[in-house]
Amino acid sequence: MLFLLFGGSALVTGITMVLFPNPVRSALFLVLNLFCVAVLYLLLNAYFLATVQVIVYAGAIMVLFLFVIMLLNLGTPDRSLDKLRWQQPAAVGIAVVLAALFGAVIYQSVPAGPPASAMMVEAPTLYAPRAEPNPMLTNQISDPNQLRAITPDTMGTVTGIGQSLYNPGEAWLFPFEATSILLLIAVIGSVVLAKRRLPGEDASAAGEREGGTG
Amino acid sequence: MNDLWQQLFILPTDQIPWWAEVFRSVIRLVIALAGGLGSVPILVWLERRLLGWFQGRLGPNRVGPFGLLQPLADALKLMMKEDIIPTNVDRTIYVMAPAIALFPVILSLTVLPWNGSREWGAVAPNIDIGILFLLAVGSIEVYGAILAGWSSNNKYSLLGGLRASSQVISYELGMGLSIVSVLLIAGTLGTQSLVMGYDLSQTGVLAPGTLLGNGQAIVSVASVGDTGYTVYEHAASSGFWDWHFLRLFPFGLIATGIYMISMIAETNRAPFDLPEAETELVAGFHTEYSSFKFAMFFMGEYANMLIVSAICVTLFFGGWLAPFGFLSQLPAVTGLYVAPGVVNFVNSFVIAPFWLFTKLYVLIGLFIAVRASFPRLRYDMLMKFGWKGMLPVALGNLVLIATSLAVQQVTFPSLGYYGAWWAGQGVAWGITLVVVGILFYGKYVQYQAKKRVARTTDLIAPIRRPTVIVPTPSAPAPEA
Amino acid sequence: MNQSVLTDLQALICPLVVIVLGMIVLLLDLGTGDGPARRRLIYFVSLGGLVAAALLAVANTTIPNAGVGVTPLTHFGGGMVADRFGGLFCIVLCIIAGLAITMSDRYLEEKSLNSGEYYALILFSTSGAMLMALAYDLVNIFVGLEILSVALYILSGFARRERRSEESAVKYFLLGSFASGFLLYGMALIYGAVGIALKNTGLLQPTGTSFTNLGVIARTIQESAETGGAPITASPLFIAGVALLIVGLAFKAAIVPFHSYAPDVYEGAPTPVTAFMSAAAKVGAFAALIRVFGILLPADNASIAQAAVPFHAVLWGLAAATIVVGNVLAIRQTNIKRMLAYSSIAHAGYILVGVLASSVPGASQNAKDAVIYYLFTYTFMNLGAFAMVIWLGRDGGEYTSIADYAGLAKQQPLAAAAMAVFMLSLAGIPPAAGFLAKLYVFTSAVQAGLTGLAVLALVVSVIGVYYYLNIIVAMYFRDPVNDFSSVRAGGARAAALLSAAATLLFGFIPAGVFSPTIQRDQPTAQPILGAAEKSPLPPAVAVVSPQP
Repeated sequence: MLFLLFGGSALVTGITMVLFPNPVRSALFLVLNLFCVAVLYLLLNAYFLATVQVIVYAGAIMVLFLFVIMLLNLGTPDRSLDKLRWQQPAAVGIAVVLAALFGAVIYQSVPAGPPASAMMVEAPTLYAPRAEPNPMLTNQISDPNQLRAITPDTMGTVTGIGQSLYNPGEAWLFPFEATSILLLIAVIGSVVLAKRRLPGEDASAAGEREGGTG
Repeated sequence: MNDLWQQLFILPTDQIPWWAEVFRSVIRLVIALAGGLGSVPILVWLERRLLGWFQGRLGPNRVGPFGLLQPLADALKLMMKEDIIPTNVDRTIYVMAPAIALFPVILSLTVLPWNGSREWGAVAPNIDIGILFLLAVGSIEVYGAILAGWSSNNKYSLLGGLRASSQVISYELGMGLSIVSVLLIAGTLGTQSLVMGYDLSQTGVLAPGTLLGNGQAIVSVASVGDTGYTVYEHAASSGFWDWHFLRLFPFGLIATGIYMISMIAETNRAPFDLPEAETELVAGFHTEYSSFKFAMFFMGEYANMLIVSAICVTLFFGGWLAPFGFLSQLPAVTGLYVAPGVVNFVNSFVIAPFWLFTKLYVLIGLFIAVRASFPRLRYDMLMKFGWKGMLPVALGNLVLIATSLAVQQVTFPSLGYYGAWWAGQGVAWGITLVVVGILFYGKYVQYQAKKRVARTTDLIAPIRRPTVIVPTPSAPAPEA
Repeated sequence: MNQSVLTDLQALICPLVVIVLGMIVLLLDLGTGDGPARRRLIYFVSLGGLVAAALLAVANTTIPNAGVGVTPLTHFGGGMVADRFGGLFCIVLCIIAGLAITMSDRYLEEKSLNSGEYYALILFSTSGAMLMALAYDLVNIFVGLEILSVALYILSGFARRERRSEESAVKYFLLGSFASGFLLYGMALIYGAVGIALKNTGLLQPTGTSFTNLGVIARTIQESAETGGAPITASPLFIAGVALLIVGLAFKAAIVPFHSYAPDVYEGAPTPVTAFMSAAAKVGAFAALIRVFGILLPADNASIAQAAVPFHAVLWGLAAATIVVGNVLAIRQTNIKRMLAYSSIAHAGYILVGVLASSVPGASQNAKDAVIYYLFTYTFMNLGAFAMVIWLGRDGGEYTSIADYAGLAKQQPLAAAAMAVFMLSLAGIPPAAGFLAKLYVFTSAVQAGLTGLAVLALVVSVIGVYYYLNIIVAMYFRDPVNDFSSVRAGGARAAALLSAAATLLFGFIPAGVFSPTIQRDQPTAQPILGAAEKSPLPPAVAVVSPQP
């Protein structure tokens, strides 16, 4: 019931977000969409993910989005300037075909029998508490005291996520740490690209740039 | 009858039918709303009287005793006024904005605890991500101001909205980091557990003598079973020295300071009230609002003040706990029989909220004193202070807290509780001293260099650069 | 810190050294005073660190390759693997970064772009490509790819004052992030397909099992095929996932029809960055492609092979299209950077032939070695060609038109000779290393039963000779139009001459570590490095018997 409600509104807000020409409205619908997705996470017992979704996306990123939209004072774009008129219908057509394709794929792949909701309830039975290191992966940590099993109880909670993110025996520690490099690069990049004047540049060059691109 | 009573008020959650749970939720919600929104008029009155006092005038004193009914009169006036919607506004968003401003504030009320009871401590007492929820809700509060500013179709409003968004985003970082610091110290995300120092959601009875997260041991275990009043057994031995602002001295205190500064910025109050700076922006994002919509912004601002203060009290100042443990509960008077239920009721619904509200109003008094004392910041100063001052300090503080705790964890078995504490703190203090020393040395070197430059530039003519003439050794000097 | 974490870190020492090097460079940039001395310090610290990283990666080359049937030695919960294959790719990447940094010193100074961030970004980008080569989990491949690409987006816009550079960065960023989206969605679909398959087969999984782990996927494929019924490689969800995966990785490797960004981006980006990304992005993407398709489309089981047929057909088509389009469009280019861009697309096609061969069981090992050797030589000849462009420029500009190089041989005979070496090598004409590389790849393709594709590639690469020789003709047989008497030289000259020497050298002697060991039967591990050091291999032409 709740799934249908919020899943449906996520869809609707997503579509309206794309369709609204006014960027502020679009952004607001995106915020709503993010909230709906957060609620879906809640329904799946992923409380941490839900709150983080709200904090990061709705609370920080979208506020910046709105900030930029308002700062640039973006209005509704003028359609008469659009040179590639045929692009729009073509895009819609291709999107529909692609959606149909994926729909067919997913429809075929979901096993017949129990409906989706039943599967969701059943899912945790797939997970058994880990008694020993993962046999599928060799060279695991062999000290069982180090591994605290993720059980259905801790799945989706802060404890569970923390244990699988920061445990060297789990698969997720490395990508998590590697992502920090990614963020560092992004920070460096934004500084490099947005800084008024780099140490090597002289003032006249920077002025030239601003005049040239502004 | 007795059964119904038991179901509605006494039995633990898992033993009651759903309608009793709904009933309890409604009751808890009513309590929270009464406590939260009911405080708003008192706050308004308090602010005006205190400001008057700070500024050497009287403040409102005509309506009711001491002017106590003034807020009521204000509210009536606002509701009577004409509700104007200017022609060129974006109507939908314009109407929605005040509601969006007020909504998250009410939502935050759901996880703020007023006592330690598992059943009656907060609207949603058992939620294990309480603090994260507060952060999430706090992060969407700014939408009200932004949308109001944008939809009003007014330059001043738009500037106010823009300022609000950038300011809130900037200060949220420091705020979040200080909250993370306290979470590291407490080791839990639940609001009640945070205050009490142990994880309330853990099932099972803690044995007497168990060491809790906040450094106290459980003195005795009461009969849990009914309403989970285990709290007071250890709270009795604790006091303000166990609250988080004094933990891991001075790092807890630094985190507290950072939180308190950013909470003023988050609520857009003086000296950080740039979004509604009346000398520059008329009234900022709510310039175009009138009547009830304005009242909602007004209410939202005051309720928000209350909420951030309540979060501050919960995180750093021991929530509902009394400054000295024995003040937390009714004294056990020998020979006088009082039913345990009554004792519990008084303890959790009179004494605990009393301390909570006392702390809250002290903090709010501080808010008002700050408003009366400091001039408004300039916008670039505000940003600089947030990004270059608060954020690095908060980050460094967080790292030091983590270091201290990690060292404590490693050395705990060998050195014992206090030994580990001193080891961890020693390392953290050492790092602090070294880093601060280096920073000061750097500043000192800079200062010296600047002094030298100043001296040399005094000596040489300002326009010409000094030219150094090197005598060529090969050329023989002509004999005079 | 426990022992196993240390082991894990030790296995990934090469990318870790490069990452730490990037951070050191940033700190040096921050901590030391401004001025040319600091620039030189950063320049040499980066180069020295890369040499050290490459030497450390040599240790990895003795570890057996991960693949079907070989239990890999995985690290960090199965997400990373440090084997010979990954180690070799790391060495190639160190060389790429080293050459790119070497050639950029004067260029950056003239354009006043010389800041520590440039070096740090190159190093971080390199580490991302290394992570892709060492990843054994789709998630890690994705993170590595993003580290690689985000740094490249920034680098291609590094010349902020030039519109072309800005355009290049924006174009690359928009299209690149779109491609990343495809890749991620593909991974999500594979995750779902594997999860469903594991549930259907009733296999109880330990918690925390990553459904994107290549080992888990390989075992799932095997077991789903053995327990009867169709293997999951035949399930629509899986097929869709792999298709999207191909799109994402093919974009990074600039394979037709996902190549259209390449010429514009290569043209607009600062030249050393173009040189770097034309090689590093390809190396990373191909490493991931080989790793993923070695696992996802193994063909040693009849039903699995059946399911893999469409993908082989798709890759066949992509390779053929890439070779043809790259070569044909390169003919019409007058800008040398664009010409090299199309040429690099064509080379991506040749490499893809090798990748395709590597997913065929019998030829797998040879094809992998051939691809590594190809990328190795490609690194030298391609970066060398770009280094030439930098070498011959001056005053912050370059001669980017092919006609500008007319008569170069009369003024700068050494430069003309080096350029000629690169062009011959790119064209695949015998004395240069490019010939051997092509030979190995086409041989392994024939071994894998891809004779048609090999013949096509061979024929089209003859067309390609035209535009490479065009430059040589201009340099040697036309009258000069430009004055090349004062050129930039500096690090670019060093890089170009080094590359030219390497191109020639490896044309005669296949490099010790990288030499394809075609006569080897077992795909199991041998201490290749030790063997190569003790007994130099016989001349490669003698080794290769089956010629197309």
